Amino acid sequence: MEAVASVEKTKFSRRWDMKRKEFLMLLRQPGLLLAVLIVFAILFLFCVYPLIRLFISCLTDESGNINFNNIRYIFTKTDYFRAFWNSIKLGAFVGVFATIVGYIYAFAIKRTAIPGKKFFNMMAMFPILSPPFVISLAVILLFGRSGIITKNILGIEGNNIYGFTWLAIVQILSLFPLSYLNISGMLESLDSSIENASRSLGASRLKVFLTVTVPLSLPAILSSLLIVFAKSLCDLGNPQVLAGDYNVLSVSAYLQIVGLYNLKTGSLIALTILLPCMLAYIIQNYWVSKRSYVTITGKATGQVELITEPHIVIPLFIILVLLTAFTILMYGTVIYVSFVKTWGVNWTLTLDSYKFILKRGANAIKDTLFLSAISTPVTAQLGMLISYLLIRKNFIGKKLMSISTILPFAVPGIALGIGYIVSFNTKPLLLTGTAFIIITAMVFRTLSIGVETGSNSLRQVDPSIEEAATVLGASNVRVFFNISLPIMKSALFSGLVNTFVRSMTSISAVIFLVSVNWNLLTVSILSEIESQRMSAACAYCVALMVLVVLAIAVLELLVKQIFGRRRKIYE
Amino acid sequence: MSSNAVGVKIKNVSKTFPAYGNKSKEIYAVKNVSIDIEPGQLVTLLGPSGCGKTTILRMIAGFLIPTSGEIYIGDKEVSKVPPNKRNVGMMFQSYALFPHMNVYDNVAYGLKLKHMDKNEIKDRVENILSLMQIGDYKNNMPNELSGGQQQRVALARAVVTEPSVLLFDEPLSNLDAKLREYMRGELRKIQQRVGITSLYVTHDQSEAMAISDKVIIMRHGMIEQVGTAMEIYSKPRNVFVADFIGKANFVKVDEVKDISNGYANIVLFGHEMNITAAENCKDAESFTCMIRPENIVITPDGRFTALVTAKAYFGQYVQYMLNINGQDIELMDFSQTNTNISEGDKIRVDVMESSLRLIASDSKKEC
Repeated sequence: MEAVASVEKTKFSRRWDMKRKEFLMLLRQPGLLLAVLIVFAILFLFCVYPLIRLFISCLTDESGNINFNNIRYIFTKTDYFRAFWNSIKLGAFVGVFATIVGYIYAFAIKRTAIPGKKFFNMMAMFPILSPPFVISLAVILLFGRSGIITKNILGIEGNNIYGFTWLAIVQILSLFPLSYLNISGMLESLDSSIENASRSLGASRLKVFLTVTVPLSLPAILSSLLIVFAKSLCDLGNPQVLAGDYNVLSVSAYLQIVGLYNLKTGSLIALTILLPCMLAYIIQNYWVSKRSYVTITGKATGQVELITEPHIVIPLFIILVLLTAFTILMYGTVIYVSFVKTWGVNWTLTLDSYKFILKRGANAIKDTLFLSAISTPVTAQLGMLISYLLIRKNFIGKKLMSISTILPFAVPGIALGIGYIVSFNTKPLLLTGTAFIIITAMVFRTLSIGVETGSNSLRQVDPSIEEAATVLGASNVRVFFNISLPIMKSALFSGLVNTFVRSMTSISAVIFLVSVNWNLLTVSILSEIESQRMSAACAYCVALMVLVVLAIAVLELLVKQIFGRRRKIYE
Repeated sequence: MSSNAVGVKIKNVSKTFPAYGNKSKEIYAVKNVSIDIEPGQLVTLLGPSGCGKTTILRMIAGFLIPTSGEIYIGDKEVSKVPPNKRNVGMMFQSYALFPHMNVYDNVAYGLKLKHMDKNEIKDRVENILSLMQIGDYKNNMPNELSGGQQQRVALARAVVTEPSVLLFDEPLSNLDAKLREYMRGELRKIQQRVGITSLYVTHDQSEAMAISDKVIIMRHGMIEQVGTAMEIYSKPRNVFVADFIGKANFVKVDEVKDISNGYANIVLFGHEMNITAAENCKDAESFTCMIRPENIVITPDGRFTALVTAKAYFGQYVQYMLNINGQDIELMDFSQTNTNISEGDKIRVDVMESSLRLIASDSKKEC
């Protein structure tokens, strides 16, 4: 017994000794130490602290004493439990169906010989790139009380679309692309020779699909389920527009704050969304992703033999066509209505709505562009720095740093937004009402994308290139600026597009942060929908989409201009 | 330059890593290793993959911190000095040229970090580039060069800063066989001309034997044998070294009559002979006799009768698989004078006694 104990102790002390040595090594590299400390300080202030404050503020009264009145209040006075179950039901339903649609989409594009793959792929990107509630807006316009299809074509009066059904449909349509991306990535890296092996042993296509393809892509299916579930729970834009009587948590939190000026109960409700969301992310990150069967060998997996049998290809093709046709119909409607004089009353085509938004929304357009244009490069630089530290350096608290960067992305935007209000409304951190608070919200909400892109591009760079610079005498700071950053930059630029688009179209995190001085397009769209000025809302949507497309084009052009020559060199 | 070369010493260095999947368990990558490299020498660490040779190299470079033990470059203990302050040069398996800099900037990078005068940088870079015969390519980007040229740039970059020690991490393994042979000669020539203390890591034994002053054979994180290429090939300390370097037959001996002063008197296939003996034979109970395949000769007055069970032609030599007294033995015939032997024949063979070596056969169980 004693001998065992002493062995344990020496092992422990040896590990402790290593930690101490690592720490001493860190102290000798002031640049690295400084970078780690600064990053930790920033992450704590903008990612962790707001959530802690949110948590504290829910459990205390105005004078700061602990008090559970808020908890009692939401459980007794509000419709909390119904909203909770509604949210979970919606999330589960949308998760399952978005994953099924996403799987069909991915399988059709990656494993069969359907025509028009590029087009379908692009159409799947649309809901990701567009403002969050374009689809719900289009659904109201097409199928609502005075909808173009329901009233004008079918002659149904007062069709009620508010509630579970259409909300679920809209969420499935806008979230299945996430599932598609997830699963198609998996199918791509799944060595198709395994499927061929099963087929050559005599299995039918269906048998191969059910016994090989599906089981092997199970991790992607699970992770898609969880991500979509979490996204549906956190979604504010669509339920806000479409939920009607079907009360969900994100909307109740929003209404508590905006309608009843009850910040604390609103925070508490937001906090209860946070828990299942975080849980889903944790399961996804630490459990599902470890179960992946896909081994990345760096070798090109052999030529995929695409399925050509018409009885498989044709039905899949029809499903995809219907799906995209529906999406096109949605976006087409929004564009069409933006040119209509008064929706539902006067169908003459004019540019009135655009004149209207240019007059009333000029500031919102300018602000959106300005704030996104500032936050995007900040996210990119910070993301590169953090990914460099995470991938290439060893220091105490690395896991903590990695989790902190994911936190603002994993929590519901509404919780982050409320956290920012309660944290930054007093001196010395009086930021509410400023552009700074919106920029930081955008930066840290999208930071994980920047870190992810940075990490991916860094993983493709042979670490010995950096080591070569180190042994030549370059400090960590120099290696980062002279070697890593220039090599990463070109790849990272594509990540910039993603961040920029997310910043432009974000709503839930920033809805409480806008002010008279700084307004955003997404918030304007929501308020136009709420005041039933549909043409103006549509015009805003179109303007936002045009801006996004323009921004992507400009960024692409910039990448080609600046990095075109170099990019060739790396490849 | 060779006058100010310094030695490198490693004293009782160990490095452990947490075991994969079980973090409370520690695995030794390097266990209590001591190495002494004299100034200007080129020493090779040779061993199968996973034997800890790269771990040692990376500890000297400073990318890994030893769990215990000391590392000296010259007189200075460096195990707590960050890699960028150790003044070592390194050549990587993947060359690791900076892809966004041209050849000149790659080589000048280390000098610029030393805040050297611009003109001096220019002189030094152009000198070393012409020494490496790549002066014409100074404005090219790395991806525009061939593998051999990239290799030269990497070497130029590593030596131009006059580091106190040069570390080679399997630098030739990405080249094709012909070029590899040529480049190892070049590497050795330049290393000797610059007179720089070097440590070379490889798993290619012919490379190790061709270029080093001293070879260190490693296995399981420990040193198996240190010596010149010739010592290691002709006087392996144990079965592992004998088997790892070159090819070897291990033959059961009939009787060991006497072992003393590094020699043994044995009976092999019924004939008494005097051969060298490894040190580990002293207290051993079972023995084996190492016979290199090229040290068996086919001769009509040979002492042993052998049955030819297989024959293969390799150009430089003919390989025969023999069976002598029930033991399988490989023979390499470089003279190729006996062309009429075929499978199933019985032939007379003999061995060169001085090249045979008695080794304790239970030494495999040492680890």
